[in-house]
Amino acid sequence: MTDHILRETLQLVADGELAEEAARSVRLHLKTCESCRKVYQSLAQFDRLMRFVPVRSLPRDFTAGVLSRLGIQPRPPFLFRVLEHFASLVAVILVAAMGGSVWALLSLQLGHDAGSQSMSQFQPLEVVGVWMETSWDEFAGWMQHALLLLPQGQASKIFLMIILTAFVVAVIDWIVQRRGAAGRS
Amino acid sequence: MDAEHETIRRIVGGDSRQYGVLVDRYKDRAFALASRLLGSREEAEEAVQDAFVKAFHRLADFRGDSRFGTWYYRILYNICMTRVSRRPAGSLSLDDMTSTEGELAVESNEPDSLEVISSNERREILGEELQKLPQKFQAVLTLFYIQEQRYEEIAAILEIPLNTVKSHLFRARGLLRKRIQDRYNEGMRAA
Repeated sequence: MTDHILRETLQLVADGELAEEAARSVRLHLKTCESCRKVYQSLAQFDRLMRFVPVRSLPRDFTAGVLSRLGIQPRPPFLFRVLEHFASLVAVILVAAMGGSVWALLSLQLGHDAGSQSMSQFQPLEVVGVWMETSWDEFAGWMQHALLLLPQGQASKIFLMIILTAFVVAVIDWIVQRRGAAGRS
Repeated sequence: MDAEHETIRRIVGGDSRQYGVLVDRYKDRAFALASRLLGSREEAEEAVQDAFVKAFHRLADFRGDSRFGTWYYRILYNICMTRVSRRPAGSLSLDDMTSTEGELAVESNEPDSLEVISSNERREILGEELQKLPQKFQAVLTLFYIQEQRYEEIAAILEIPLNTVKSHLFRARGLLRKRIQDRYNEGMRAA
């Protein structure tokens, strides 16, 4: 007559709570004893079901509520952060373009550009106009140069520009998050 | 150091926003435990939130020799028990309902109803019957199956001996099976 294994012991095996050596000998027994195997299968089936008992979810804004109680500003959604960084990126490009144009205008004023007019010949508003026009020309020139470096074909250019922008935005986001963390610590 | 302990290190270091990561990870399972212990959705939500707030303030004391979940569930369990103890006498005393039905079911020779009922129906019935079990049984079953805690961790959370965890789990399963079997039999008789 075969000695059967206690249901409690089989349950410990199903729960992964029996010492490995003992569990191995139980598994060996299960290969040869149909009665114990049936009990074990029934326990395992119950366990599988229990792991899928429906769990109710908390409201979506629960985490924000906890952070708010702790006085912690929740991290803005990713899309919002992307837009924020994209705006920062555009601002940086514009400032750089303006810087370049100021440098160009200064060169103009100093008469480095042979045959050009002196700044002193312009009225203040005209100076701003020339400055903006030059800025735009500089920026457009850079963009043209950049586009020439990209593969031919409109679609691939647009695709590459999106990838590059996403990369730059992700890098900015990473830097901002790291700086934020360092600033708070 | 695993990712969770690294997150905790960063929070303690001042990166408080990272706490949202931990809250997101544990909130639903914590809510399942609190719902089982308190029986009310609103009260369970409040208890989970209170526990997260308390855990945040004590995070520097978290030594990292257990999982954050185990440590957090211990706080949550205490908060739930405090709430239960403040209730008027007689409003919830599920522990008094403990019976030996579970042990009887273990010896039952009736066909296993779980094999007969469809899987969706089984889950629904299990969920309903789990809700009706004595509170201590609900706690061990929820901690084991939903929070995926090991016996030792459950013992630490509930502050009970390891053997009591084993016996509670065994009896809880038996009782649950018995109740499902009874429901199935009633359904068969009615049909």
